[in-house]
Amino acid sequence: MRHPKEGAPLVASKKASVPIINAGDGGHNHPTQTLTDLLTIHREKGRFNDLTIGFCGDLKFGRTVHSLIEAMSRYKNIKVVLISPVELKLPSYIKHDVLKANNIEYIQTTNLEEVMPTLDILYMTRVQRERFFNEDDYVRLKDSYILTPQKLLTAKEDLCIMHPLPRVNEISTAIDDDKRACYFKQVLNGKFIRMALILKLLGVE
Amino acid sequence: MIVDAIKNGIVIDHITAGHAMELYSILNLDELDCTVAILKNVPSKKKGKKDIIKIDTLIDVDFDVLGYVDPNITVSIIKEGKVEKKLEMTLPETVTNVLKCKNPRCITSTEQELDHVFKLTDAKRKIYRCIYCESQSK
Ligand SMILES: [Zn+2]
Repeated sequence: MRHPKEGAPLVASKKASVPIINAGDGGHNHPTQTLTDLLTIHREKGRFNDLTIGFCGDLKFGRTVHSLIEAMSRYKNIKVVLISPVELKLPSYIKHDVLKANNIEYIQTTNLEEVMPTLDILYMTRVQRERFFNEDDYVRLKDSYILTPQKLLTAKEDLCIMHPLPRVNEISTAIDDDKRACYFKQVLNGKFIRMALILKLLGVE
Repeated sequence: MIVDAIKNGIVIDHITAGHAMELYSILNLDELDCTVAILKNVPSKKKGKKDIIKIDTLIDVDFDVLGYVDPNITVSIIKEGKVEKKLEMTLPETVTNVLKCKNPRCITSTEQELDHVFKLTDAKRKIYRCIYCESQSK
């Protein structure tokens, strides 16, 4: 069930005679996307521990970012790098309840290029025009959070670039053929994970 | 000031001074026909001042609500003029229909018959979250 109201799948699951999969409820959770992201990290990196993960763009409203940070906080030696304009910083309750509660090392910055060399994974998100109070701020900031070949010059050879898609312009198409671009593989992983989930719920071995 | 001792009823004691009226309305005590005494700013050894509510009948009190509002409250059940039970309150794991979810995107904002249920997620900081959308209670 995909539903604009938050908690709708939970309500449905209490009444339904068949299993309910939450396929995204409002700005709350998107668990199958998180499973997809985890599968992608596992396939690309072969591990969940010892990773420095950068989250870039809209960290305030991005539910996929919130869920993945929470999921990764279970693992050892995870470092989180939060890259966003001040207006779209990660909500403080996530910093407190998830990062600090699990002793996860994190830094906040507005500058993607500065932290690029440290990253094992770069999770890009859309910076949407409607999130800004005025057009000037949007125009001033939007390009800082667009990934270009130029910005990738200092990145690790085995960086894994992810994005929940659809993309608007935050990743230059010039990067699509770079071997570090994993977002199309991520979509395919999304299909696999949802197939696996449905089979599991149907009781198919 | 003296209020008659009650024979069968409930005494809600050690209420933080000034909060008795809040409990009065949350527990819907206005619907009762019996005598209800509200004592404000009673001198207290422990707290300096406290409020007390005395209810002159045995009613079912929602202890979860009391624990949520003020975990320092004690409740005495009086039977035949004697204290039958004295109960200490604790922060409840969940509270139902005490807090209202204010998130306009929450399913409770459209499905009117749904109970508003909040779960304790951080006992130290007394943080409750809506079980549907996980918004923090305000
Ligand atoms: Zn809610």
